[in-house]
Amino acid sequence: MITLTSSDGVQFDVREAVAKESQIIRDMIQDDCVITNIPLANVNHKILSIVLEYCQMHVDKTEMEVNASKHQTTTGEGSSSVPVALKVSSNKNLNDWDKEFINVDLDTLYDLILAANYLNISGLLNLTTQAAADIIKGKTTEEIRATFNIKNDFTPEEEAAIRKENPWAFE
Amino acid sequence: MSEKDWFLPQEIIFKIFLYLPGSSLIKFQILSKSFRSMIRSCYFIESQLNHASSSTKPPIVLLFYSNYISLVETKTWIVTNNLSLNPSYKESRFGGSCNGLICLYDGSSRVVSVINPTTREYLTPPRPSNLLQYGLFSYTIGFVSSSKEYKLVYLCMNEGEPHLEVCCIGDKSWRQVAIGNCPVSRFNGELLPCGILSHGALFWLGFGSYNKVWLIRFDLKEEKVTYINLNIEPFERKSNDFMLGELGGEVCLTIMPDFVFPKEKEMHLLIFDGKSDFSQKMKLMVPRHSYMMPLFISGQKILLQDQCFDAGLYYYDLSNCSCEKVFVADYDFCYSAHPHIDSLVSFGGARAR
Repeated sequence: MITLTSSDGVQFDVREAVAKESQIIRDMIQDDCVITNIPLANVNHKILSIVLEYCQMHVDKTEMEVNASKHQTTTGEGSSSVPVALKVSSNKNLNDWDKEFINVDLDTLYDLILAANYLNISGLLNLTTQAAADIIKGKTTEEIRATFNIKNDFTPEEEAAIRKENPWAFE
Repeated sequence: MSEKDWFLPQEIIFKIFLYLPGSSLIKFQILSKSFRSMIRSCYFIESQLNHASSSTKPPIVLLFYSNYISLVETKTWIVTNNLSLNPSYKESRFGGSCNGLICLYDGSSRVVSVINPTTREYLTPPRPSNLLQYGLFSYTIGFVSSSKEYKLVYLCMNEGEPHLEVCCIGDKSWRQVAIGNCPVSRFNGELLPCGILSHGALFWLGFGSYNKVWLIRFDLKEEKVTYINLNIEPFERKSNDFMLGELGGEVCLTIMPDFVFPKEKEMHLLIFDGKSDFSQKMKLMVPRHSYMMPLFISGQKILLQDQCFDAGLYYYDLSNCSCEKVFVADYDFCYSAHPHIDSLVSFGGARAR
């Protein structure tokens, strides 16, 4: 077990495999194998608990699949007509779970992106950035500016020229 | 504008933007000067192309019908981009999709164009030097990754004599390529389909003496033609319903045998192993009156287009052999569907109005 401490001092005891979903923690454990308590200065307890829920689920699911495939090879039932290369992602349930998991408000989503980036959890970072893209792609430029706090530094003439370059995009 | 104005660090904004459809990227150039320069940078365009080509992004299907093109997101089945050819072609045909660029040509005048439907950049290269006015022909677009060159390939067949020319996009003239001793004497169907791009080469399906089935392979880098005699069982050869496509980056031969069941029929997908045989063979049970062309594979699911009945798109699930219709465009006329990548790749053409 490893203890992870959030920026606001809350401790989480997790299995090593779960903590190792984070590349940064994996590196720390590799460098110093007796490490048992890791303080995470950039993640508060609310976000950390959500992140750990994600890691827990993905570790459990992977372990389940490894066990299932071990079972399959020992019983010799692995030779169906489906080629091996195509068996990669039969984890439909996990995708459904991810979809449900990422259904959070915008503030939480941004915090999750920052946490996934800081902890370097590639699966979670892909999931959250994709979700953010899905949210912003349908928004108007004004809405995006407000969401990301972007200042429009084009003059009206410059802006008109860019719109004229690609008129269909602004229809 | 300083980075501190942003709620998220620039590297994360960059990552989020990689997931956006091309049409949104074009629109978001107007956010601010730094966003515009990010979206237009070579680094972003290349990263976006790599990202869109990888499996993490749901694929795009390009619908092509007469002089119209639409892009459809397969995640939501929303049409994200519609454009029409201007000037329009009399007999508009599709010459492949590669890194977000497509080739379209006129079956009548043999004028060819390269278009990026996302940025609407277009180019009309010259026509090949030896334009035979009859016989089957097609154009295909391809890419040489080592030199980052886009090439157009013109293949025509006149009374059993093939002729092949190649032109780098941006070049002013075509070069004829020696075709060697060609064993292929005929093609399937009334039109010659465009070549299939896989592992840096283009492939066409042809037939020779004794009903032998051949692949014509054109190496885009070396500009060399080779012929591959496909190892196809005689009973499979009885049927003339062969189609060549691409699945998971490999050349895929689709065969519609004559076995028809009361409600469904069997189709075979054979994945070419790069030599003369097949590395995978799949049997699919599809609706009886359909004529399915595979578009892409994702995990256990294969997206198919019915080219016969309603031009609809179907997901075939290999794990339970189910075939489910997922999309049908509300156009009055027949369209073809092609796997496509939504990219901002530029090739020195002009912008459409």
